[in-house]
Amino acid sequence: MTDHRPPGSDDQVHTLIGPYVLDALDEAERAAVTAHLAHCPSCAAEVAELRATAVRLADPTTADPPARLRDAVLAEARRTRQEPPQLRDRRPGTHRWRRWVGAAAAAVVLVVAAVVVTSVVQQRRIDAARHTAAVAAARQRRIDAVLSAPDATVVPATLPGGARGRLVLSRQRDLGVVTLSGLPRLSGRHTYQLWLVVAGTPHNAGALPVGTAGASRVLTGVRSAAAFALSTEPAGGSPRPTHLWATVPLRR
Amino acid sequence: MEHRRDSPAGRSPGPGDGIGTLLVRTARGDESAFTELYDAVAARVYGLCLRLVRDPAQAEEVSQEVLLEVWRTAARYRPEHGSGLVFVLTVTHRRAVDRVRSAQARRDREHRAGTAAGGDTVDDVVDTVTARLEYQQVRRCLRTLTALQRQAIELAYYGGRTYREVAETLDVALPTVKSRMRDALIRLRDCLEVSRR
Repeated sequence: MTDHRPPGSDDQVHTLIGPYVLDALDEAERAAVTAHLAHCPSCAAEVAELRATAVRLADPTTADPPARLRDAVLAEARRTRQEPPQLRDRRPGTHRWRRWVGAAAAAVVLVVAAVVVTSVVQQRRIDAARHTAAVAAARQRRIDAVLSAPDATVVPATLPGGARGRLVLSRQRDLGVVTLSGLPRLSGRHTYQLWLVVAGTPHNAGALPVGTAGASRVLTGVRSAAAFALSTEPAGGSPRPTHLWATVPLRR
Repeated sequence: MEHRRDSPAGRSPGPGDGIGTLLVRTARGDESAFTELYDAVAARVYGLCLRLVRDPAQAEEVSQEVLLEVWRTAARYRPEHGSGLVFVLTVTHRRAVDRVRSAQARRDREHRAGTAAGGDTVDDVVDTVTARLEYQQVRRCLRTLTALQRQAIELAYYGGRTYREVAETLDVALPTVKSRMRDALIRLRDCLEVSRR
């Protein structure tokens, strides 16, 4: 220790917020910060906010666990008692991570949540995607081309009914990738169709299968597109949009 | 004092927070909700563990601990205090860092560094697109940091090092490392917010 101020003092705690959020403190320092947060709402709010940012650093680390983990966890859970909701542990140092949650102000990271929601939706579609392996491989190359493009830009979109969309565009490579999630169910045999609007005219970018709640599609010809649009159509799609559902302007 | 003894369902998770909703249901002992929660977060939990501990067998062990901790302590999740995923990944990072810091893990990691990389299969394409878009965003934002800021948070977050070890590794003063870590997070936060708009 080179710092001789008492660990609970405000100065000391504030300088430790960065390392605290990154889990880069030793146990004693960590306990001091945790204890401080319980009676410093503004510190707790900052920790919550930075924690939400730090968690984004985990975005690139997704990896599928072995299938046996699922069975092991679910079986073990059935044998494991849960803590009752009213239980509140007041001792500092135990369940260290919880303090900030308990004391933190709201920090909603919808984008991060949407990623996982999307992957849940999409996970259910793996079986359906299996037989399109060759197509997917080609698509992967195009996705790679978009994501690795030096001029790639991200265009997020909030869609009606709580649905979410995200486009990555490379005008240089004239390619884009759109990811949609949480698309509301449509009545009857109706589905969503994708369009790129060029000079006021919608160009068909493909219809989704009926019942699809989330999907990713490669878009070609994005360079001249002023907007991306979604319409609702009878199954199989239409040559022109019947009912325009959402329009996303693409920044130039 | 800053929070009531409300039931976990006292406030509902935000409309986009599927994980949060599943956590609230899990807290009531709903096993099917926990199963769904597992399917939603397992790859995030395991991936982060793998990144930190490197060894797949140990990553699996830590993931199991984390997921059971989530089951056991789901009642502590407060939707009004953050998203469900932040809750889960915070537990994950903490547990993985604990493991990294045990001498055994450190030894294994040095032996096996670099063996943990797993290639995407074609079937994963659809699932990983969104994660990759996010990754792209994070990577972009990491590039806006100074070299020292970036190294400091990477060594801590992905390497599980304490800020003292980071200071030693980068050969800079302790107060510098502490403030760079915080500055880096603030800058990242701003960058990620901007690109979300």
